[in-house]
Amino acid sequence: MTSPADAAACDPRLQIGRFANHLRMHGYPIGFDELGLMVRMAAEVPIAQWKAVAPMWRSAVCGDRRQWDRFPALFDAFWFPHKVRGTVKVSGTARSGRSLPERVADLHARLDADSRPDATARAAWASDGAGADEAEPHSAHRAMGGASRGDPADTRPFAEWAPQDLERIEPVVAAFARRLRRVLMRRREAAGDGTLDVRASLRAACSSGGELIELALKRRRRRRPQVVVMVDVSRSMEAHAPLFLRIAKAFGECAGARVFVFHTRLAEITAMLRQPGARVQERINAVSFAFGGGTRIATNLADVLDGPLRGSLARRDLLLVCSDGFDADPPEQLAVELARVRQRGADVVWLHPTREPPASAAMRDASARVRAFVPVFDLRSLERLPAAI
Amino acid sequence: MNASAASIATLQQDLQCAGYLADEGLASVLWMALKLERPLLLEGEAGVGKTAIAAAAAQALGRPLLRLQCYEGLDLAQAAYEWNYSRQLLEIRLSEAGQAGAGQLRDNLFSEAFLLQRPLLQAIRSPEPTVLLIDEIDRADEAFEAFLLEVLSEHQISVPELGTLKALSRPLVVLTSNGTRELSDALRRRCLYQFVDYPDLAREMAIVKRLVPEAAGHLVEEAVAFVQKLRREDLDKTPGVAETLDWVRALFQLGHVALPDDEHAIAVTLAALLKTRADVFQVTPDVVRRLVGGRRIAQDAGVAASPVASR
Repeated sequence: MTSPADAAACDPRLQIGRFANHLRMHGYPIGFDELGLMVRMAAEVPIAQWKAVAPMWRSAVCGDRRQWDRFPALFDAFWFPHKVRGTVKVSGTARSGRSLPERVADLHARLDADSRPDATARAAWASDGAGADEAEPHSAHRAMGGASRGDPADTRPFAEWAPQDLERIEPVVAAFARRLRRVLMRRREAAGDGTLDVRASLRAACSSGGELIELALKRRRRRRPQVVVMVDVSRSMEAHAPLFLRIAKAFGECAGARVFVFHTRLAEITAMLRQPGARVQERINAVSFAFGGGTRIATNLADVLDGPLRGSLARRDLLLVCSDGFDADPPEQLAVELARVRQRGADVVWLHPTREPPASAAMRDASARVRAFVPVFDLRSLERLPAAI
Repeated sequence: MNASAASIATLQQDLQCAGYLADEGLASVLWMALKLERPLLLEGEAGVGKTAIAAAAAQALGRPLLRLQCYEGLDLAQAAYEWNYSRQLLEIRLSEAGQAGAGQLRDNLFSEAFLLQRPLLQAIRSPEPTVLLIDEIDRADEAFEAFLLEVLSEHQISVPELGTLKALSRPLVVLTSNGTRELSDALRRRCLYQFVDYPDLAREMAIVKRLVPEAAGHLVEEAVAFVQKLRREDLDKTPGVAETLDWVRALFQLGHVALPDDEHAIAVTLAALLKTRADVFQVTPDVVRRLVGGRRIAQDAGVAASPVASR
């Protein structure tokens, strides 16, 4: 006879909850709603068509293309671990005790046993229990002896990260992008709320015989601050450039940033990063490997201000420079160029791969023009970026 | 096979009859969207057939299709409802002439009779269920996206003068996005998500053969194989299924029964596939010759007959 604890452990809803937890660990934003939906889907799909559960769950939990592309590998790693040969890491998650078809069959068996024929009761049963704290694996499977839920990857240096870990950068950058406050402009635009636009209201009244029926309102226009990322890909940054390019790509996607790479010359790679497809990483690598010489930060800064950013970097915009600060130009020139950026009203934030701020002669002179120096060597340090702005 | 199992297969078959070749994954998700009454968000490159899915679903389900094309500046008056001002004015004038009671006029003036229904309101107030297509939602403003949340999750629209108008029937809502703007998490979480990718070689051939039946089989096979190879080039605008269909129709109209051997003859028809100046500049006759040189790709993959066999 099975004990209540064993019966609870065999509950298919619990196993689906563990799968949801597994997805959460890989960055999928799954809440109670999504979990309830997954259970409902598994309960609705006929046993004979259990394979249809995978595309249904995929549609329920994915929110963008990146998550869409990664889902099959994560699904197989959890439900069919024997198929996967170490391609996906499944750390800290209880392994599936029974296979997916058995779980779907269990759900149907329980539904039949409960004999709740109507759809509402079915949905209620499916949601019941799915809302419990499934983020926490079942107590029987928890690690013992001072185990922590903290992920060691947070404090692991970026240099030791595996390629799939780099996906975790994007949520951090997205959170930062959301915190950028919109810039209030002088010009006004039509809006549902705001002050009365007399001219537009009178013009609208013409269509109703001069009767002022609909009032037109307008408010000050807002715009998203422009973010520009400049990545140093010189020889001294060779080890860090791929990571900073990845961060720059995340800024491009989340904040619409323009991205430049430089060492002795300058190149814009914004369009290259935005192109879809699996070849983006190869292109990034090609760009970073093609460089790898000396560094002329001040000259490149002047080039970008007089060229692509002429008249576009303005008040409340943000220039992120990713560099270790070693500059082959005259030391005083960097301060002059950074002063030009500040004159336009934009902020300069310096991301450096070392724990200490850059201490070169050029940086000592220019540090007064830099709003913040942010060390970026692990995920936790990157998370401190919003606080620096 | 039980009733539910039959309905996924039946839906797939009905979609096929409506002219859309859906794979099993898409059919399952569409079936689940109907079952759970959840909106379906389709994302993918332009021209992969996102809008066609909604049209085919409407035809397959025998429901009317209501389409809302989104654009920057789209507001409630064009999307949900608008008061019929002219008719209200007329009513006021008639009332003044007839000396009718002011109280009665006040009660009537903001009733549903004076409301002009736009697609969103039409969809939820229709007595029979419909398919509501909200096309290119990424073009609309964030404010409109926020307004949609109430319609998508509660199936109701709040009109300040009237109160809340609840749905008489639950429509199947299909949203499409080209991914030009990041949609809010709130909207995404209310929808089932499906990424629509370019079809593979065999599926695209089946689509073209079905939708351009007048074109010779050999022409279709070679043209589709050419487009599949063209998609691997580094283009600004990758040609979608719609472009392939246009190109095959153009080749058919020019009287070709197979892809011409002369690359210049092909190059003059590429306006149907290449939509930017940079792409036209990039795909030179040399590139066309290289791509045509691999026309046997379809035969090698076993999805097309050899020219000798088909003739």
